[in-house]
Amino acid sequence: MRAGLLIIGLWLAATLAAALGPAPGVDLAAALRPPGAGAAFGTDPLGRSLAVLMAEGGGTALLIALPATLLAALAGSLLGVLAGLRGGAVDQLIVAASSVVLAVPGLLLALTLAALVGPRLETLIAALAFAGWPVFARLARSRTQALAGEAFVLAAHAAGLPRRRVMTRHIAPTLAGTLWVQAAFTAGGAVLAEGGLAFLGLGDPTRASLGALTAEGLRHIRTAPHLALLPALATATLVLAFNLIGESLAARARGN
Amino acid sequence: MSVGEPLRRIGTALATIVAVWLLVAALVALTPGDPVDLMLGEQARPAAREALRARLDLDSPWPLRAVRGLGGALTGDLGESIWLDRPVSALIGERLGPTAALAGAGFLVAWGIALPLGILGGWRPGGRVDRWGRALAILTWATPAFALGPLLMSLFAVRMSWLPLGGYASATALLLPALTLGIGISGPGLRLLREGVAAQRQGLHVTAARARGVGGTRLVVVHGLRPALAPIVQVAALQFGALLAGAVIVETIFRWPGLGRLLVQAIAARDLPLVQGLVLVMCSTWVAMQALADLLGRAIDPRMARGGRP
Repeated sequence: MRAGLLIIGLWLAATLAAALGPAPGVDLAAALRPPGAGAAFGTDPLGRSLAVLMAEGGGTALLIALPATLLAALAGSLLGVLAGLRGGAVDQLIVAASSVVLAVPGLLLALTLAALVGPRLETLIAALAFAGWPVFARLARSRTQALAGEAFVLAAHAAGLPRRRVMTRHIAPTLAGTLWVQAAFTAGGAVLAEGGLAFLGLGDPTRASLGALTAEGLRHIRTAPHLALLPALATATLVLAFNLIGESLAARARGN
Repeated sequence: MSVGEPLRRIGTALATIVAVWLLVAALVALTPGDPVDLMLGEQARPAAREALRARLDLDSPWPLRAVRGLGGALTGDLGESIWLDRPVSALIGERLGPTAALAGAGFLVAWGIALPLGILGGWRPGGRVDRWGRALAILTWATPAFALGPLLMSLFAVRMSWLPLGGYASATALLLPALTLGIGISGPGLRLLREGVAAQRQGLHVTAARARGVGGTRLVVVHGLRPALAPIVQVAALQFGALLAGAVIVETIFRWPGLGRLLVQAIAARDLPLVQGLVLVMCSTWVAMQALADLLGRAIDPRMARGGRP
């Protein structure tokens, strides 16, 4: 947990520092410098500091992954709880819709959407949220169904509380633990997907991205492999941070 | 297992595939912007625009178009690629082999890692193999294919020059893409296998077998592994989705001429019929794998057929 939060904190600090500092200027005389004096990670073919570009790229990844996860979690758990409580046709419809979306691998879905609408920040967030909601819906639905038979929920119903109140005050808080675990892993997956899309040339072209930096660096893999490897491995640290948080939340939910 | 159950599962799978087609068609139709603008650019000549409109049947309402396209798709006609000017089904047919080879090899790599580490780790929880195995699973799961690929490439193709940088020319060209894909997806299988074997190890049936004098490999494989296999088959099927998505990136890194690279090229060329056809074929394969895994899981562990937990 602490390690994960620490890594994300470091990324945020780096992003902030890059945003406050001067924009990395193009300086062809300083192109393709090796890591060392002046620029910690060397410079790219346009002479910009790779470290600064990577810090900005990490910011882009968070700027896309976090809202996408939030949207997916909110929409998914709302639909899931609804399906679990209502049952019947509503339930069947939500389950069917989630299985259709689940039948398309997340990256393919995001790829298609990004290609159709054009890769912009909002499109990428919407695409990743659309690919992510079914998992939350499934989780929330099965947990709600399990909870619906518990004594405290039956008691709330018996006391004559309106259904909405039972949902928000009794079921939602008990669900939260499970959903937080999933949210951490979804955020990690969204960072991976954002990087993958940018690597394939479908990221937001106006922003630095770790995936796009990797794709750019791959052209110099023979002479300057660090140009591809550093941003790519940096992506892994960000994903790892979210997954570690997910692991420890899951361990906590299991009760140890 | 009754005869009706497999039939019903196949029916669900077919319905899902049809729904995926409709979903993709709806996405194409309902996203703002004219597909003709998307494909030809806004400065295209009116005659060219009209020709493309007619060719894509854009003047009929989209549900009608989707249903017509579906009818074609079911008979193997996925329309014509605008970019390459050839039938989509023929293009997909050519690229199916390389992707199948890559996916198969990646699958072998993944389970070549997951099986030994998962079984040995689960048999001795907390031991050295277990600790390394779990660390490996967490690390590989967090590492994007676009990191692992360039890493392996710079180690084995550039620094040591053992293997080609990419392409499809030789059998060794398969090795790096397959390793990238396989290592990347090995984690979940490893962890699940470990949990399964660790749980089985404490089961009464293992104690009973041990009391009967069963030991060594036979004890681990027959009594420890087999009951843990049913959920593994399901994970293997789910992995197939990660495999397909991973293939898109891995094929791009190593210039492997498969479906994934064709999809990226089709998107870059704004070739909507080709994109639609590729997404349909890739999703259908995954849906079919999941249905197969369900049926296989029931065959391995009959308790699952009754809706029980394995």
